[in-house]
Amino acid sequence: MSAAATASFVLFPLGRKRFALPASEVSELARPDVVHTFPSNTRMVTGVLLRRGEVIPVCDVAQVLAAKDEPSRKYYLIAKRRFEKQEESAAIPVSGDCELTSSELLPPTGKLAAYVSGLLSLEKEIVEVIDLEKLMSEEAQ
Amino acid sequence: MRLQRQGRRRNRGPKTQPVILFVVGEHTFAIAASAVTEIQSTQEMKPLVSQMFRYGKVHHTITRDGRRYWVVDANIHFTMLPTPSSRLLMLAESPLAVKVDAIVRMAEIGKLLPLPRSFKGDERNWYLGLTLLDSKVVPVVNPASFLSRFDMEALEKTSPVHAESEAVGVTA
Repeated sequence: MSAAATASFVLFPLGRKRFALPASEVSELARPDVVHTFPSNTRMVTGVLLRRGEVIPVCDVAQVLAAKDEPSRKYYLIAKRRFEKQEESAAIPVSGDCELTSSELLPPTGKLAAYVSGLLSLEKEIVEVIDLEKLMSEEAQ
Repeated sequence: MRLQRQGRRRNRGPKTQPVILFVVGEHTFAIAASAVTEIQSTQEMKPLVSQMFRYGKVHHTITRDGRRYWVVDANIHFTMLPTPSSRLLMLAESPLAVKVDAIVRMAEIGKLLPLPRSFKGDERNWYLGLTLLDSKVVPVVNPASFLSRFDMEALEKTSPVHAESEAVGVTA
């Protein structure tokens, strides 16, 4: 009998729900910071943070994941995005404390959005694991 | 030989670029000083008479030294709500003037930071990159983005040859 393969995920709240990202894609949880804004028309990219001299785009995924809730954004989850062979940090505003957990990634079932790469069955909740690239892409609209 | 070495040394100094900081709405932008020939008030600006001559973000012209400049409204260009404009940046490389709210000051900028790849929209064309000024992130605009050569040719075709004859003597 073989044990199910588990992986690490970072759980983050957005309004009343929690979502997850693979821990390998998250580098840190950052405190609230000044968001520098300038005109742009990329969906969900609302500005940039300046952290240790690095310009980090703010990707406000709550616009899609928790649109009706309009949660307040308390912290920034700094995640890695891949652009061909290059990586870039992205700051994802979240509405509360995050949690690291290990769990088996279950395949998405039912009618879930294309950006849901799998599900985590936790004690009291089922959490959607987000594919950040699909969520940020135009096709996910 | 010696002169060449001296020349090389001189090039190793810190590379800075003079820019003009300007405001549109609540945002501050930078443009390379070399891209601007002069700054004008909007008082001499003349509206294009007919709606059919208006082309998206160009609703006015201004004539300087016998040359007609198309006035690009920065609010429309950057898809911002209208704000009161008071200044025109006359561009060096094309017959264009950019209507902005106000000029802040001149500044020297260092390294131009690339726009993060997460930005995928029109801003990739609007900006040459970002710069840091007084701990603020300021986009450095791309002067070539205000009006394409195609847009300019279309304007030339649809508008009368002489701006003076088409414009009414009303200041905006």
